[in-house]
Order: sequence, then C-alpha cells, then structure tokens
Amino acid sequence: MRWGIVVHITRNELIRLSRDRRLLCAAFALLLLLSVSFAGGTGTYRRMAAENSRAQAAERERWLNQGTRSPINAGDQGIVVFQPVSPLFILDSGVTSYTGSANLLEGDHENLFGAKPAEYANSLLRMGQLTPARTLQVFVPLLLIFLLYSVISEERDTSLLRQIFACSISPGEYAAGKILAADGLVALIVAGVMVSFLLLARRELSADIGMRAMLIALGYLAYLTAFIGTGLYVSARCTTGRQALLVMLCGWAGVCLLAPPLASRLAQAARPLPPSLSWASEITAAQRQVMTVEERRAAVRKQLLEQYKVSSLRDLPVDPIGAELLLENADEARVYHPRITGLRDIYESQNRFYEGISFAAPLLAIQALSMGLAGADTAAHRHFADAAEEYRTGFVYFLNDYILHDPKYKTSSTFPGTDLVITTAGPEVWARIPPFTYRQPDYVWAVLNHRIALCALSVWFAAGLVTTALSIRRIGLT
Amino acid sequence: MFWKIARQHLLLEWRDPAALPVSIILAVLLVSISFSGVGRILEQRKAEERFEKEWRQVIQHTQAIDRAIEDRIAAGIEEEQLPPPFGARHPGYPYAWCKPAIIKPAAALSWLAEGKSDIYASGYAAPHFEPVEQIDNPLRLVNGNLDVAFVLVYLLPLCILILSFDLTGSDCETGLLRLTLAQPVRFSTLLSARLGASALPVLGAMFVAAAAIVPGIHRIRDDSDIGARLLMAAAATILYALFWWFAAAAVNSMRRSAPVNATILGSFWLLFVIFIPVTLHAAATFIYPVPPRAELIDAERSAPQRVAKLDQISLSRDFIAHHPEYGYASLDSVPGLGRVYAGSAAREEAEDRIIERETGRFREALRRQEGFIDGFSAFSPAILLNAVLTDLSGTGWRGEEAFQEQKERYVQRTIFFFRSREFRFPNGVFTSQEYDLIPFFEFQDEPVAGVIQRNRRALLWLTLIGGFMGVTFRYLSTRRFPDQIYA
Repeated sequence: MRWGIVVHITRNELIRLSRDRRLLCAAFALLLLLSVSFAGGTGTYRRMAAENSRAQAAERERWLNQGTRSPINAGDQGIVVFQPVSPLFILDSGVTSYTGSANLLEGDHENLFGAKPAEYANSLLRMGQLTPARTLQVFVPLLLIFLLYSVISEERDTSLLRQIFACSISPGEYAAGKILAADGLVALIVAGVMVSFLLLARRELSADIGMRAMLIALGYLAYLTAFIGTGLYVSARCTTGRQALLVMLCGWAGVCLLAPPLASRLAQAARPLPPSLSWASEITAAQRQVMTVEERRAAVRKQLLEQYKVSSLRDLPVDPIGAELLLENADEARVYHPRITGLRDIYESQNRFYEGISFAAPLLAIQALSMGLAGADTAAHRHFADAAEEYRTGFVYFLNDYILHDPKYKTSSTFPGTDLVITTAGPEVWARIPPFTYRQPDYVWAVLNHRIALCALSVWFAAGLVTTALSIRRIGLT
Repeated sequence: MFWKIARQHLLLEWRDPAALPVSIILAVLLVSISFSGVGRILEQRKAEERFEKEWRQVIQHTQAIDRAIEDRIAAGIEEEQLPPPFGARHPGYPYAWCKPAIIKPAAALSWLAEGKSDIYASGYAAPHFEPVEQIDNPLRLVNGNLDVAFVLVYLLPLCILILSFDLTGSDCETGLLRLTLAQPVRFSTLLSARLGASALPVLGAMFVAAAAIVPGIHRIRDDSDIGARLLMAAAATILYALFWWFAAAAVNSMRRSAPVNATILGSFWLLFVIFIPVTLHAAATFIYPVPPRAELIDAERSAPQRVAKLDQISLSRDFIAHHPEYGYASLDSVPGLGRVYAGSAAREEAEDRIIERETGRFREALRRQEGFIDGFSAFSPAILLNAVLTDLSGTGWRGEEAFQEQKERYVQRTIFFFRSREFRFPNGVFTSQEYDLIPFFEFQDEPVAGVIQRNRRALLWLTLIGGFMGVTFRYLSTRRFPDQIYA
C-alpha cells in the first residue's frame, strides 16, 4: 500500500467533508447536543457531590450530637450513607437516577433502593435525559451515517470511482483513505469529549479516573470504528446512495433506538422479576414464618435462665431485651437478606443476558461498559449497597450488644420482665461507631464485571475491520 | 391525475425494498408491544388480587378471634375486659394490623404509555401504610419503556421520513421531474399524490395493528371510557403523523436532492424529538430544582423527635378543637383513657404535618417543572404526543397525583374509623361486627371528560403545528422555483 496516496485521499476526503454543508449542519447539531449534555451532566454532578458531602457531614454531626437516648431509638432513626459520585458521572450518569445515591440504613432491616431521584423527576426524564455518553452512543453514529452512506455509492453512481481506479489507485488505498478520514473525524469527536471532560473535572482527577476515562475513550473508538466499517460495507454493497441511506437509517434505528429497551424486555422475559406486590407478599409470608415477639421473648428468657443457671430474670448478668433484639435482628436478616440478594442476583443475571445480546447490537456493549467504568452501573450500586449493609449490620449489632451488656440492668428500678428498654447511651457510645467509609472498586473490577460486553465490543471492532476488508473487495469488483 | 400518480407511486413503493419491510416492522412492533403490555397488566392484576386477598385474610383471621372471644363471653366462660388488652377487641390492634392495603391498580391503558408507573409505589400496606416500592432492574428503567408511546413518538416519524424523504429528490437529480412537469400536471398535485401514496403503508400498518390490538384490550376492560380515551389517542397520533408528513412534503417541495432532504428531515427529527425535550428537561430541572432527597429522609425520621419536644397537652387540645367530627367539645370531655389516645392521635397528625410539609416542597418543585414544560411543549410535537398518551393512560404524574389524593382521603377515613373507637376508652371494645365496617380503598379512575378537557390544549397545538407545516408545504409546492421555468 502506498501511504502517500492514502494520505492524499484522506486529505481530499476531509476537504470534501469540510465543504459539505450537510456535515456542517450535523456538526453544529452534535455540538449543541454535546453542550447541553455536558452542561446538564456537570450541573447535576456538582449539585449532587456538594449535597452529598454537606449531608454526609451533617449526618455525622447529628449522630454524634444526638444526646442521651435509647440505643434502640438511635438505631431506628438509622444512618444515612451516600454512594460517592465519581466525576465520570459528568460523562455517564448510568442508573443513578433510579437507584439514588443516598441510602437510609435503618435499624430494623435491610432496604432496597431508598431514595430514587426519578420519583420526583419531571415527565421528560426519559425523553430528556441526555449525557455525553448517550450522545456518543446514539447520535455520533447518526452523524456517521450521513457522512458514510455516499462515500462509495455516490462516487460509483457518478462513475467517479472508475476514473479514480483508472489513475492506478488500488481499492485498498482508496478505502483506507476514506476510513482514515472517517476515523480521524471520530477520533476528533471522542478526543473533544474527553478533553472537555478532563477540563470540567480537572480538580477531582485521579489515576483511577484517568485510566477509566482512557478506557471509555478507547471503547467509544472501537464502537464507532465498528459503525464506520459496517457503514462502508453498506455503502459499497448498495446499488444507490438512497438505498445505502435507507439501510443505514433502519439499522441505526434498530441498534440505537430500539435495541436497548427491547433487550431489557427480553432480559426480563428470560430472567423474570416478580411484580413488586408479589415480592412484598413473599416478604410478609416469610415474616410470618419467624418467631413472634412473644415466642422470641419466651425462648430468649428460657435460654438465658438455663445458660446462667439462675431462676430469676433479676439475677441475669445481661439484659434479656438485648439478647432478644440480637435474635430479632438475625431473624429479620434471614427474611430480608436472601430476598434482596436474590433480587440483585436476578438483576445481575438480566444484565449478563443483556450484555449477551450486545453481540447483535454494539450499543448495548458500549453502554454497559461505559456505565460500568463510570461507576454508575447496577454492579457498582450493589457493591456499595453490600458495603452499606455490612456497616448497618455492624452498628446495629453494636447497639444491641450495648443493651445486652448494660450494667444498669442489674440496678434498674424497672421490673425486668417488661419490654421496656432501660438502657441509654451518650456521645461516647455514638462516637464508638465509626463513620461509614466506602472505597469504590478500581477500574479492573469494573472491566471484569463487563467482560461479556468487552468481548462483544471486541468482536464488533473486529467485524468492523472485516467488513472494511470486504468493502475493499467489493470496490475492487466494481 | 392525482389518483394516477398515487397509483404509480404505490406501485413503485411496492417494488421498493424499504417500504414493505418498514410497514411490516411497524405493524409487528405495535402489535407485539401492545400484547406484551396487556400480558404485563394481567400479571400485575393477579399480583394485586393476591396481595389484597392476603390483607383481607388478616382481617378475617382477627375477626374470627374477636368472634370467638364474644362467643366465650356469651357462654359465660370468660368476662369482658375493660379496657380490652391489646388484641382483636382493642381498636388499636386492627388499626395497626388490619388496615386493608391501598393498591394502585395497573392502568388499563398502561400498554399504551407506561409513563412513570414503573417508578411510583404500587401500593401501601399496614402497619403504617408503608409504600410497596417497585423492584424493577435499574438498567431497564434507564432504557425506558418499550410501549406503544415509544414506537409512536420515536419510530413512527422515522418510518414516515424513510418512506417520504425521496418523493421528488431522485427525480430532481435525474431530471425526470422536469420531464414530468412538462406534462399537464402541477407540482403540488404530483407531490400530494406521492405523499398520499407514501402515507398508505404507514397508515395501513397502524390500521392493521389497531385491528389486532382492540380484541386484546377487551381482556383488560371494556367500557366506553376506554373507547373514548383510545379515540383521543388515535386522534393525537394522526395529528402527530400529519405533522411529519407535511414536514416531509414541505422539504420535498424545495426540490433538493434526496440526500439533502434526508439530512434536513433527520435534523428535524433530532430537533423535535431529542433536542427540545432534552433542553426543556435540563432547563426545568435547573430553574426549579428538587430539594435533596436526604432532606426528605431526615424529615421523615426526625419528625417523632420534633413532635416530642412540643407541649403535648396543647397539642391534644388543638387536635380535639380541629376535629369536631370526633364529637368532643374539648379535651376534657374525652373519656379518661381516650385522652391518652387523643394525645397519640395528635402526635401522629403533627408528625404527618411535618412530613407533608417536606413532601410538599418536592411536589411543588415537580409541579413547577411540569408547568414550565407544559408552557413550552408546543415547540415539540413529540412532547405533546407523549404528554397526551401518558395522561390518557393515567400513568404520568397527574395520574399519580390523583391517586395520592384518593389515598390521602382514604387514610383520613381509616384513621377516623379506628381513632374514634379508641377515644371511647375505657368503655369501648372493637366488636366482631365492626370488622365488617372497616373501610376499603377503591381507586376511581378520573372521568374521561376531565382528561379530554385537560388535553384539548395539546390537541389544539398539535393541530396548529401540523396546520402550519401543511401551509408551508402548500406555499412551497405552489411557489415557482428557477427550474420550473423549463416546465
């Protein structure tokens, strides 16, 4: 291959594109979409990050200064924890609107999503939620369609292709030049997006975020290269420019508009979730299987009296209510934890199925990978929720254990057979419960989580290259 | 001449590899999505029935316990305890555990537009009417609903544009248009005939889909109300489609090449279906921000503490003074033990007020956002159609507000029912007959007249926008272009 000629064709193609008013219009539209999505993403990120950090500090302050009160009441009021928002949220906010970043950890039992911002979002949430990631996933391919459909077919329609080949330019050189021009344009767009992101998030950057951003950029390049290869092939294959445009537009609508909701529906059909009311019924039924308060109380008292070989509750070295609460908590965990875990397992299984479909639609692969690397996918939320649950279990155990071993039990004037909690705790006890700290897993974890999507994207990238080679052959046949 | 051209264009379309597949895909999508939506509604209905039955069983079980106590008292085996212990004959017990569940029934038209029905709580249950949260996969929620509204708002215009971006473009490029116009035919007639012919596959697909869907709807509900709603949805859809057909015709009237037409129409689609909704959503959220959720969480959990700090006696006095329906002139006239319950009712109400105040801030921000969007919705027919379909289905924020209002009224009725019996203490018991009087919640759909009234404006705007596009098409198609001098 003579690279000089390839560069010449690339330059020529870029000049042609820059003189094309359609491209200018499309570039303007893309710029508008990116500006709006960046403005929206940055605004939401900054507001969320500021609100979360303010609320987190206030929450700790409240916890430490709640005065002297029963540990039971303190536990019931719970602790609000916040999922850290990565600056990559500017690029891709993922599922955050539907999971929320603030979670109330209640003393009673584990909870699913605590506060979904979507509940108080306006009716345009789904029509109007646009992120830079979505712009790259959906609208850049549309721009590419308008650039690529005529790349070969139009020159063939006007017989220009024959003249080009008559000048001893090989089909390979011709196609390489065209691809380089399109790829250059795509690289320019992706680089523009990444530079904008880096500028907007320059104060919060870290090595991990940099690595994630780089991987996201590479993912988008692979995704768009697959589009370029396919587009070029369609352009070479179709007999007219109009036909090429039609095929590409239909393909785009199928892959970029229809595939995500359709794949989600298919995943739901393959790994069905129960209706929420059925799930609630299941929990109620499970709650009926555990001991009632009275049964538990009797069992705990009998066991404690036997264990400490005493005949009166007054002689027990521990407060039976503390033991009761510990047992109650274990019972509640048996009711909620397996069900919530089961539900999250179904989500995971659905998401794997969804990523499996991405072998048929590349957008699903890049969407999953982009969300995952931005730390805004279901897996990241689950990782956070698991850490929060561990923290909740720890502090609830601590409070109940404090009641169990409260020395005041022995001297309290309250009759030790009632269900009154006589234990009170003060600031020194609250301070013994450390603040919730959460470390987001690194980018390797995120990539490994989406290995199916990564495989699918690699296959699509390879398919892009193969279709490019096929296009060259096709042009040669022309 | 009109019919001749239309027939000719239809024949060309029949041979076109795009027209038939596009219309078949559209019809198949509409039918399959509708049926899958109907299936979901039926599944949801079954879950609702099961859920409600379970709570009814709880009531029946407690009533049976109460009846057994009554039988034992009648047989002289045991004596009535006054006040009764906390159990079946104590009004506080059924108040906590025998409140019937509040269920928001799956809307009969949610297959048309799911709206936010997959986000709002699907019901509320005892002991404190806690919400039964939706448990959908967040990724599915991000990807949006695959419902009829999605196909109509996003894909229908694309189908129209694909079939009509080249009504005259290719002919312009090849010079065939000039030859055609050399015949005794006007450009406007030619374009109108071709437009009509290109509209037929889409209309046919929609008609076939509607014919297939209607019998399926009878499985959910069959009344004139649904019929009227569907007619209005059909009218809005036709107006929306007309807008896109006229837009396509207007662009074709400019006599540019097919690719240029496609680019212009693609930009239109981007502008009306994507860009304006995105901008409006961002602007509404920015101008009327919703307070942080952490504030609502904090208000909910700190309400009891805040109320505990208030003067309890005056709280109870105010409660009795503001609730003449309980039939007590003052706190002093409430029987001894009843005062304790009056105090607890007063605290509960004060807590609710605090939470309501906080929730009110969220609702107000949302209402303002919706008002803002409503004010600018005329700029995008896609927003108008989406709003009409969601409102007709009752799955949007208005449907939720109506449900919340009914729920609130029911909650107040339930509280009054149980509390008034607690106030009779120490001399009152909750008899087994009273279990039959426990109020049940039944959601009443908004009368269709109200929905139509509310959506008249949106329909008017759709007509005006479509009409404007039609006039533009008419103007451009009758205007003399430089190439027409050869015609």
